Order: sequence, then C-alpha cells, then structure tokens
Amino acid sequence: MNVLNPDQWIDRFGDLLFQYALPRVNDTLLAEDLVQDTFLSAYRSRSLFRGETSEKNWLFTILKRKIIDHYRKKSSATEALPEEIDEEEWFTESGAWRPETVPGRWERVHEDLENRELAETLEKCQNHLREKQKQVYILKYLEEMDGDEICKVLGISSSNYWILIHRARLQMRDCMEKHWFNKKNKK
Amino acid sequence: MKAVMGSCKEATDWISRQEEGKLGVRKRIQLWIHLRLCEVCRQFQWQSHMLGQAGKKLRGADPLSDEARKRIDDQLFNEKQKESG
Repeated sequence: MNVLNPDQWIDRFGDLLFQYALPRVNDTLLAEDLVQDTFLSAYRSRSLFRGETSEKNWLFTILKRKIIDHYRKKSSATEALPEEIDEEEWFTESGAWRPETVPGRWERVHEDLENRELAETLEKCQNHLREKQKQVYILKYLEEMDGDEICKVLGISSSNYWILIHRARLQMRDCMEKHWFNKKNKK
Repeated sequence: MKAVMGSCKEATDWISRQEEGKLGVRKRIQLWIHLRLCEVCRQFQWQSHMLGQAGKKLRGADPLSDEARKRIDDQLFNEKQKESG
C-alpha cells in the first residue's frame, strides 16, 4: 500500500513534474505554476488517495489533467481553422509529393531518442507549428490522447482535427529531417 | 491505378486515420496497396511514427529554479497552515 509524503514532494518530484510540463506548455512560468497547482490540488485531495497507485503516478495524473485544462481554456481564444485540406506546399495538384518536400532517407536514426539535442530540435520544430497545429500535435503525441478526446478539449470538429494533424505531421517530419536527421556538420 | 491506391497526399492522411482506427475497410485496402508500392510514403509512415515515439519521451533539461522551488514550498506551507489553523 502506497502512502503520501507531502513534505517530500518538492524534493522528490518537483523537477520531474517540471521537466514533464515544460515541453508540453513551452513556458517556464506556466510550467512552474502547473507544478505548484499540482501539489496544492494533491494536498487538498489527499484523503482521496487510496494507495493503489504510486505517489509519483498519482501526482503525474493530476499534472496531466492540469495540462489538458490549460489547453481547454486556451482553445476558447478564437483562431481561424482550416476548412479543407490544402497542402500545395507538400503535394502537386495530382497529390504526388513535390520534389523539394519528398521524404528522404534519414541518417541519424540509430541515435538515442532521448538524446538532449534531439529533444531540443524537436521542441524547436514544434514551436514552428501554427498555434492550433501545435496544440493538436502536443495533445496527440506528447500527451497520447486520441482524436475524439482532442476535439472535445479544443472544441474543434473532427474534420478540422484531421487537417490539423496531417499538416502538423508533414511539417514536423520535414523540419526534423532538415534540422536533425540529415543535418550536415553535426557535432 | 491511382483510383486503386490513392495519391500520396491521400495516403499520408489515411496513415494518421488508420493509427487511430478511423479508416474504413475500403481505404485500408487502398492504403495497404499504396504502401506496398510507394517507398516514400512507407518512409513517411515510419518517420512520423518515430517522431511520435520521441515526443512521448520529451522532457525539459533544467530543474526547477531555486526561486520557483521556494515559491512552491511557501504555497504548500501556507496550505498546510490553513488546515491546521
């Protein structure tokens, strides 16, 4: 049976929670606030902790909920959404890859996926996505939510979702190819 | 042939839908044929999948700053005081 030790939370889990939150919200102060809110919520609801999960998992569940709530609130800000698939940048009129964007073979595929530089490049590429594309991409790939849940959180239609995720994937793949996997003069 | 296997633009969209189990039988078959014949889209599928795996593991490098740590510590202390007071 797991028990809670709130006095040790900051020392044991503060950094872990912060390092999880930061690339998901891309704002240091906001990530710190989310960690603080996580500890406060956890403390207030500690009587609900049944000890079936570890203290760490319980805190992460609360943090993840806070991240999703952040996106839910953020999505109420209006932003024009794509009406139809328009990917001229990537494909010709007949739907074939354009020569300049056709996926190439990747060179650095055997490097560790948790490599620090790779993580930084991934974050930079994420930050180049348009706001809504970024939200959809983060919720799908970093938070591992499915499309139906993402549509509810962001208040978007299913057709908007498929367009946004398609474009985000095209752009992320292209950006990572140029800036990481096939980048010359690497260290 | 395109009617059977779809275009690369369609295939890349179908790949996302298939991952979430949201692709009908007919298009699943079309995608299967497309991927058998199109190495570039196979590459796209594998590379996108790999980025998704890397995304899951994405973590910041820096720890909480001393100021943030103190601020959070104070807030938690206040919360405990409120309850005991």
